[in-house]
Amino acid sequence: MAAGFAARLHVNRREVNLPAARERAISSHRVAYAPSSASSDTGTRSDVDLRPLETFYEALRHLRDEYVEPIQKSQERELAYGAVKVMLDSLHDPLTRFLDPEQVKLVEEAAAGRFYGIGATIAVKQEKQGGIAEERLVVASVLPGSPAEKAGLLTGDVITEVDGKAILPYDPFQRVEKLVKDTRNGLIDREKQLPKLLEAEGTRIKNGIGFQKASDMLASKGNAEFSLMVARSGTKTLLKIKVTAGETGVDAVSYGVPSPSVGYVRLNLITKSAQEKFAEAVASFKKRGVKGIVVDLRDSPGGSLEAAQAIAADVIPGRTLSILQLPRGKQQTLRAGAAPAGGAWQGPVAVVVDGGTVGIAEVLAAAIRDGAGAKLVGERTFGDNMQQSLVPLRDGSAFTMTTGKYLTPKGGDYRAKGLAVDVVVPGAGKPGEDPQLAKAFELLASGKGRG
Amino acid sequence: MRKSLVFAIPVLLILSAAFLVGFAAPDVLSAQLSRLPERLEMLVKPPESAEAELPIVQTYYSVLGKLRESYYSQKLDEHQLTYNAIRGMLQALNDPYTRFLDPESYKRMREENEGNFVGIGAQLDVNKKQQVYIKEPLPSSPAVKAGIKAGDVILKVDDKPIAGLEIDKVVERIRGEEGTKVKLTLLRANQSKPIDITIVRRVVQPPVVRSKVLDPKNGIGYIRLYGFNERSDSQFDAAMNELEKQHVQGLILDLRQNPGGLLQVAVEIGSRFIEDGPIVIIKDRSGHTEEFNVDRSKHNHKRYPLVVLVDKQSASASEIVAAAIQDDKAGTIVGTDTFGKARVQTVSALLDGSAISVTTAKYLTPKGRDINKVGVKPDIVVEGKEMIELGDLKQDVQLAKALGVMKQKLGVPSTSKPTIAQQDGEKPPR
Repeated sequence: MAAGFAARLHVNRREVNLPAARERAISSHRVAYAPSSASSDTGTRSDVDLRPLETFYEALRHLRDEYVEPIQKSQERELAYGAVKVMLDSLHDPLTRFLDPEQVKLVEEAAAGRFYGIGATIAVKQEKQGGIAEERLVVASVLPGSPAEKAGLLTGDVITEVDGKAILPYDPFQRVEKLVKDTRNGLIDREKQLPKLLEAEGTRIKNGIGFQKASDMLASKGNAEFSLMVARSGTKTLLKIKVTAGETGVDAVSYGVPSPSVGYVRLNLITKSAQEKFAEAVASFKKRGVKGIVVDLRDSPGGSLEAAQAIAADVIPGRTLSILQLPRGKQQTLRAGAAPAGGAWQGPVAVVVDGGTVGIAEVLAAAIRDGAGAKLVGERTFGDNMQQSLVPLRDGSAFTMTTGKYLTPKGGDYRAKGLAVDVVVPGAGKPGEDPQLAKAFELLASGKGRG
Repeated sequence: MRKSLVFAIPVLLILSAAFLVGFAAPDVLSAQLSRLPERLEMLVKPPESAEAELPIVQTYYSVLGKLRESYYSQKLDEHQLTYNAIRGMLQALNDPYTRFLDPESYKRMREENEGNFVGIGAQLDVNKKQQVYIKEPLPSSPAVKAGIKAGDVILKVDDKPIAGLEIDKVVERIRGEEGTKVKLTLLRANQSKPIDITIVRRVVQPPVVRSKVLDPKNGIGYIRLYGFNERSDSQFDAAMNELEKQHVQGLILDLRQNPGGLLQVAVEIGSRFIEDGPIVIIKDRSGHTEEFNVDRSKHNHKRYPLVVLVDKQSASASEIVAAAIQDDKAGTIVGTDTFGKARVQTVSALLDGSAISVTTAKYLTPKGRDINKVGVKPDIVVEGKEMIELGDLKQDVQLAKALGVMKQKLGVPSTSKPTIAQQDGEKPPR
């Protein structure tokens, strides 16, 4: 499972302001996402347990009436933020968290293609090892031209330390508990080994930093230099990588006709501006009379569902984009938008993906594959199909939460596994070469893609 | 209108821990609950002003409502979510002593303050083979009556093997409701087959005071106080009676590793060493001060030359007693700087069985010192050694020093080697 920041959250910001049709669809089973509804959704009074509210209210009352330093008006925000933050963190779901107004601004900027910090989207993966499930920070997509790219960070890298501080999971004491348990079971010597191990673990926790804080730090404004320790698959020792943070501007879409018969369009982000440029690209391809289109979704950290629906309209109008699983066993079929005035693209398509194809980019890849009979070329995708929604709170802060799970149009669940590709082509080629792209062009030139 | 809806539950002022005086009567409770819908109306109604402020309850409850409606990943426990929301709210104050107690923690706190709990009355530990065993059955406990012996290794609880289980979990399984039975399968030294013993759970009171005559020749008594609960003062009194039978002439009071307890009990214990005046001064949030004066009814024993042992883990109520004795020059404080917690908490029960501990006041020593974050500075500093059995003169250098100081007070020649004191950076006694 992945959690993101920036682009990933942006995705869902859009989902909050859905077109009217979807808004109603949502309303049938849940109260619509509108900030103004915040105060009216206590649910039906008959089936909601009111005791938790009672308890919270009582606790606050005691605090107000009795605390040694009377609670000031100016502290209320901190108290409210603290309550929401810890409540959401207690779910141990990296996609469900509080965002202060500053963080909400970063989400908005990402939607406009402006990224800060190292310029990579970082996902949180829960990994089980030795009976312990811990959250790890994984580089999901490295944005083109970003400090992360310049420093040599790769998709799939696991960041284990930032500036000498270990990255800690939600519950850093699991390891301590395991040490004690292993000692009970005779795997660790109580006198000779345990004290030293406990001390080392204690130091690690004391000097460590929560994964959420670390990921926020790596996406914050400024020009800080970060020293990262990185675990890379295939490399035995940890790598030390220095990254100087800065602003990264990302163009949502680039396109062209590099070979006479095939159009190429790259979707760096799936945003409102991407949807306009994508339509422009498809129109120009049609004018040029190409035989096929290559859609490049590599290192695409995603965007909004709404934009994905609009982009899909140019290729698979009206077809199923995804089957969205919702709470309490419900599900909803999400469809691509209606064909544009000039008509949608009817010819062959190939989609290039890799491990940096994340979230809504994966949804789009699966939809084009299933709806247009397109081949997926490249490498297995990241495997993040949880829907994360952003709910604004009244003062400019917000929170995100997991609200559903995207399945492929055929109902496939690719959580954590990623989408398998039809034609496997490893990414690493000789300098200046792109074997994955070359393979996609070759497929279309030979007339494969949509029957 | 709001005021009338608030539950006012009387509480005791406490230090580090808490004690609840009474719960709301059931009829009061149901009356309040019946008014809840009306009250909710008030809670969820948006404020009149359009300004973007975040009323705390509303923010919490709107987020909880959104989760209830749309959260996908797992079934939600709204009680636990709310407990965590309260924890988060309190954490924002950066006061570690203002904290939330879930029903389980609150129950444990009440047991600690009452000084009793329901169980079999045996202290458990883990041996070198990583087995859980009976370290010490308490005198006249259900465990002793049923024939449990120190050293018995526990194999099963109610026929369920406990191998690999944490000691806390074993304790949890052994404890239960008063009057119910628990069956232990035990391995006893020199017996080839395990034995089964069934024990009826009863209310037991672990000792909070232990005492002994440390130096019979010179009549030096030793009393260690483990905490300040409702049993502390009577057990202290009993210990004094016992020591006086053996003609003690001087007293060493050990408050090391004593985390504190009830404020009232600190005043009771402190009163035993001080002639007159305040034991502690409480300053509330509006700046009003209240002096807790010596309780003369506690002057039923003679006052002896006194040495008090303290360390970094002597906190709150322990510090009140140590500071009062220091301010009054009623004894010599030996050891290391104490914890430095000069804040008083009030613990209030909430309707659902949980509780909130709120820092409600500061306290000052009789001379008006605020020792928060500073602690009580001993008159004679002696660093302790780690991982030793406190009270064992062979290992316990702080106790050895206290004994030396007491001998000086009593005018007997000290036999302790002066080099130890020098190593430990002794300050001259005043």
